[in-house]
Amino acid sequence: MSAPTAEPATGASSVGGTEVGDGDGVVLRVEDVSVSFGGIRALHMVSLAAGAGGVTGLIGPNGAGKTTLFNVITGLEKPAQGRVRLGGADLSGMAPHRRARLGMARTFQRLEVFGSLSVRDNILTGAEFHRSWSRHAEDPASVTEEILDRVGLRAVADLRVDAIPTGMARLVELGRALATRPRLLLLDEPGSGLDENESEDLGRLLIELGEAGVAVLLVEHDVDLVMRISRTVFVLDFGRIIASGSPSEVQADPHVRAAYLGTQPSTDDGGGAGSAGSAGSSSSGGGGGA
Amino acid sequence: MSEFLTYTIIGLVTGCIYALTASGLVVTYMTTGILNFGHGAVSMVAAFAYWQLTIEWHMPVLLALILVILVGAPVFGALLERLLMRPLQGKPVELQVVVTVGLLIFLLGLANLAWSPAASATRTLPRFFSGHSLKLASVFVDYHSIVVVAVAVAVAIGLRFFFSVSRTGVAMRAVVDNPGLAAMAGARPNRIAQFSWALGAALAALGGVLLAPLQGALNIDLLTLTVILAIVPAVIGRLRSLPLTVAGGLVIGLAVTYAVGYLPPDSFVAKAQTAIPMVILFVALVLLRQERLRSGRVTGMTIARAPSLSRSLVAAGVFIVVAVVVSELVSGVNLGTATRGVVLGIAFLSLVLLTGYAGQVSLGQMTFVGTGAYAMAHLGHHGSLVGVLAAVAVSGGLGALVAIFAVRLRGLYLALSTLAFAYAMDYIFFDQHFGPYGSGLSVDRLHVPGLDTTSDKGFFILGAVIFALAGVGLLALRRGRYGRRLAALNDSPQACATLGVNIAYTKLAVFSASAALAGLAGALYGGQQHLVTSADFQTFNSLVLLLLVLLGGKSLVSGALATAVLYALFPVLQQHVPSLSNIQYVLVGLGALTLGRNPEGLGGQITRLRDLLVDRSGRAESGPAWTVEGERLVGADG
Amino acid sequence: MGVTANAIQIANVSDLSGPVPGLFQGAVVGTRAYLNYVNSQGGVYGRQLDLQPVDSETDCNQTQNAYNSEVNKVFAFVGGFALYDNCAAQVLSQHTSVPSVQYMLSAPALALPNNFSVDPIQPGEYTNGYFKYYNTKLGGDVQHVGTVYPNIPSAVAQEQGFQNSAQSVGWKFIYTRAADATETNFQTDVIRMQSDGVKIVFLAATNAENAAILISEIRQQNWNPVIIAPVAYASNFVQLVGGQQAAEGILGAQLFSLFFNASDASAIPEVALFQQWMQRTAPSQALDLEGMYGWAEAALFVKALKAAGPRATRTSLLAALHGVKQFSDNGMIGQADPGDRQPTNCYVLWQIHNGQFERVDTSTSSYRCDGTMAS
Repeated sequence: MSAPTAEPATGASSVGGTEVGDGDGVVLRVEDVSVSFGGIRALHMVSLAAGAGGVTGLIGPNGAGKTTLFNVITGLEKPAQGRVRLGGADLSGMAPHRRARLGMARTFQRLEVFGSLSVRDNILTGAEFHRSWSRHAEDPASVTEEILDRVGLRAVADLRVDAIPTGMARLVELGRALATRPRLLLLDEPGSGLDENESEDLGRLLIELGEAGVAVLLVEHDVDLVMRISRTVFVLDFGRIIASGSPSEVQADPHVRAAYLGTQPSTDDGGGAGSAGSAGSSSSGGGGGA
Repeated sequence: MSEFLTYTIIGLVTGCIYALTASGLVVTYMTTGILNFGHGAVSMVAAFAYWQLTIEWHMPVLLALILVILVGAPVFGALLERLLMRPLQGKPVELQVVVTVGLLIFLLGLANLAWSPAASATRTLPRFFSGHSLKLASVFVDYHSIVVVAVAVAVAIGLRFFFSVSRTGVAMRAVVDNPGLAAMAGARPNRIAQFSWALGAALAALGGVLLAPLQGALNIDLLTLTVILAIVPAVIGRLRSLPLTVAGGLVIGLAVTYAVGYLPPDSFVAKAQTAIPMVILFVALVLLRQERLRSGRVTGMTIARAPSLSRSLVAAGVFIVVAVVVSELVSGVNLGTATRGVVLGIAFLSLVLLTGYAGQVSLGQMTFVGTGAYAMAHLGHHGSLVGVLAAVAVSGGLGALVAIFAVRLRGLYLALSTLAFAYAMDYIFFDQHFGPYGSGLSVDRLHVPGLDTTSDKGFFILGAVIFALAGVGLLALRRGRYGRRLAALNDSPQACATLGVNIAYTKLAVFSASAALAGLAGALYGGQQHLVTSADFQTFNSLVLLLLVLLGGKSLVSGALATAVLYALFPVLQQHVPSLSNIQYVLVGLGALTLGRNPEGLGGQITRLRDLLVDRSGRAESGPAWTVEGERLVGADG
Repeated sequence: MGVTANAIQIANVSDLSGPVPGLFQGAVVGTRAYLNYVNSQGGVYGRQLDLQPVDSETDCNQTQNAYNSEVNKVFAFVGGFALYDNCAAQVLSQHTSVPSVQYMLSAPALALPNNFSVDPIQPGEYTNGYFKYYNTKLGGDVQHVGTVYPNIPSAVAQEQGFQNSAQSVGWKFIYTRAADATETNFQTDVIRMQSDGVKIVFLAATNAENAAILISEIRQQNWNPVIIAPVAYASNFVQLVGGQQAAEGILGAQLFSLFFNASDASAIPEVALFQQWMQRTAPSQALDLEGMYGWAEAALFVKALKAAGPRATRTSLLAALHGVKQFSDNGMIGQADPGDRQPTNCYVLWQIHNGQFERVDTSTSSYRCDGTMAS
């Protein structure tokens, strides 16, 4: 179970006239990325892939390195080794804003909304930015209205973002990211703070996006949600990918259980993963709690 | 060779003073993330207090030293932390800069009141062990200098020891590296911050007491400004490494001494004892590792909503009408003051754009006003429009140039690079090019068809009209796409980057635009009295400018006008009430100090009040209609 | 204008505040002291002279404002001292009927038709009298002169005047440095001058504090050049430089009397009068250069006012001022020609001995007047 595979997207879908994926329909490829902070290995030889047509999930206990991986993908962090490819193109050395212009957008675990602007203006700004660097961009005002409805923020459109609940603010970030019509969407815990209904709505939205041809890489604590909507799931623990595959495969993986629940793995495979200290942080194990 | 050794010794002694005062600066920054621009003022007050105790009141030297350095300064430092610095935590950089500059101004005013420069009293402090010296490698080094070196070495070793061995010291370092973890481990960040400010103030006091005797007569401004140079070694030490800071101080002392010792005495470099550290500062800032984009704040700034186009046009119209009325009623000196007020208002607006809207700090905005005035003086003969265009182009271009270097930097480092630029311009440009013997340049008033600007009335109205246009333009900008872009940049540069925004370019553009607007103000500035001297554009005035803009509410056009008029008015009032001069320092300083608790400034407070009064329905323009209960949204009435 | 039956209004615009530590409070006091003296004698033709001091704040704009606010209220401007007198000149040039009797520094101010100064020295020129004297007295040493002065406009102008004048009679400056206004460490300069073979250290365009620091550093290095420091003539200088021993042997020269010394007071009645009335007017005010010039300018003013007669007008005062071709304020200053705008060529030589300034090679009550203006 150590070699990560991803089921390729069926059919080549395109967004904005460009080929979405490389030959296999894979939009994002992370190859052997390693990152260290001081003496600490934050990521070790991480590889994964995400394609259009569905959602790719990324789960793992707190501190596993998920946000760091996002930072590497978006160019905010430089890996000591390894590379990131978007649609086959090597992104090494590319500044974050240039990667964004290639069709990548993300949300943040610690909110990075434009707090002084209204919900509408947050999304509008995203669309206006898009317009400023893309010839194919549509009229920002109509894009904004469309996204407001799609994400379900119409009711709070005129409120300042720093005045609404965090869960809703996360949706704003999602909407803002969508405004740039990305082909790769990196979501860092977008469901945090949402209640059950809202979570379901979110799940539906993400599946729709996937089907519409956007590659979605979803990091979530709500393992339930991830398992429900993902086609492929990667599991990150202590900076390493310890499992990958379809949701059912991953849920059955003993290493994954060990990592989340703290029990020793029965098989001897590379060790290190799942030792004490990683347990107790996530609220749901495989297929159970709310 | 013996000369080299001699210069090296002299340079090391000079460097030790830099190192000592810089250490205090780094200690306070390390734990609270606030660079204290008022550090030099603390040194100055300590030196004067020491003089008061030993010379005026004949207290024994040792007792006075203990009282000033070990009692008075630490208490003062702890108070500073508690009252001023704690509320500044997490606040934007420009607020931190301005509040500490406010401290500087406040202490300057206080010192001038307490120890007024009377021609009768020459206040001098004797050197320690004065009269004795030691011969080292063909140079006589007096005991005082040896004391300085010894103290600097002792402090450096002591601090090193303290930070690596003692519990408090280790805790202080932990607080810097990981406040959350440190708190969990039992460290109390507040206590630690207080302690570090007490220590920093003590070090400042020590530096002041050691430096003052070397300057001949005690001089309030001289002492304060000399210590501001301590920022340079602090930056070399990355504001966190004491050994590097000390090394930086020594390097600067050596560099300055070697320059004077070896370069031709009439060369530019030998003149610029301040310019050398500033150049080093600029280089150090440019060479700094690029800071990782860190997350911004979750809550956005409390900017009031920009008024609609119709409202701003109406306001502009009313303003111009009022200006016309004023021009009829007022004349002479008062009309001149009003003119200066509106022209300065345009300069203030340039900071509203840069700092209020885009959240970038410039500590050298008056420099751009000055280059604009220079361009107008040379190219605006007979009030030609070419002069104004040149002013805008020159200042805007210069702003872009600075931004190219500074744009990688964020927050405090960006601010410091603008400071270094401003100081460098003082020496390179303003001292040399404003008329023979600094007598100033003559400037014509901009000629506008249909308006007689040769009359004071006409020129005033011109100024008012241009201000109104600039104000309306700025508000339109803010309402629109560009305003959103700037607000976004301000709230989360990180998010902007991931949305495809080239942040460097955006910053460069806004710096340039802001400088260009300042240049426009400069083109009009000299015209008021047909004469412009370089003193108006010195760096210190740029600090005051920033301070006043923030006091007026940094994103408010009206605030900018109000404080600009005050800035023009104060010196005139002072003429009639001489004692006002120091009082105004004290007041302005106090105002700045309150900014810590009221970041919106007085102007912002007034606007909030107005909003609350105007919208009785309870739905304030800039507040939420809904309240949050738990995680649910609840309507204001339900 | 500015004249009533009993009083004449006079304005004194001086820098009393500002960033530059050159407060010219002395100018106000000196002027006021003289006017008090005159008033105590019954005034001029029965009119008391009222002084209105205004602060020009060491700022161009405020200097202009000060003049603008007074120019239509007072009879004349007397005794003021402002760094930005070029800005004052701008106002005065638009009101050429207003008399101004003030010591001006800048070229535009000196060129005003309505300004008269007791010693109108143009920037960039200076009398060469005492340079000639030292040339004779010290011989070849004058070819090895070193100096340090602050890089501020007024000092630069002054230094240029000194150097032009000195060089015209054979002096050679082998070390000249224009230091930052904020510099107070001159050790390196001292070392360098010493190794460059400087024989005379000349300190004139700087201020007393910096001169004192430089001289004490010379003393500390056990170096013994000739020190010619005209700027050292200040009542606190001996204290500043570190005591009698450090001050011993310092030479100097100036275009006016030793106005705070008892020796000159006993030889020149005007000096005694000056000291007496300064003490009465402001006992805590030190006797400084601005005070002395304030007094002298006021004396010039009163002299011309008296000559203009009991029905003096601004015009008649201006004419009277034109007519003063010889003025030394009774020996207080070197004789000059204010009416024709000719500065003085007279000087006194002094040295510091036993902590006191004493005249050297100059008679006790008069001047050496063998200089010529050179530029």
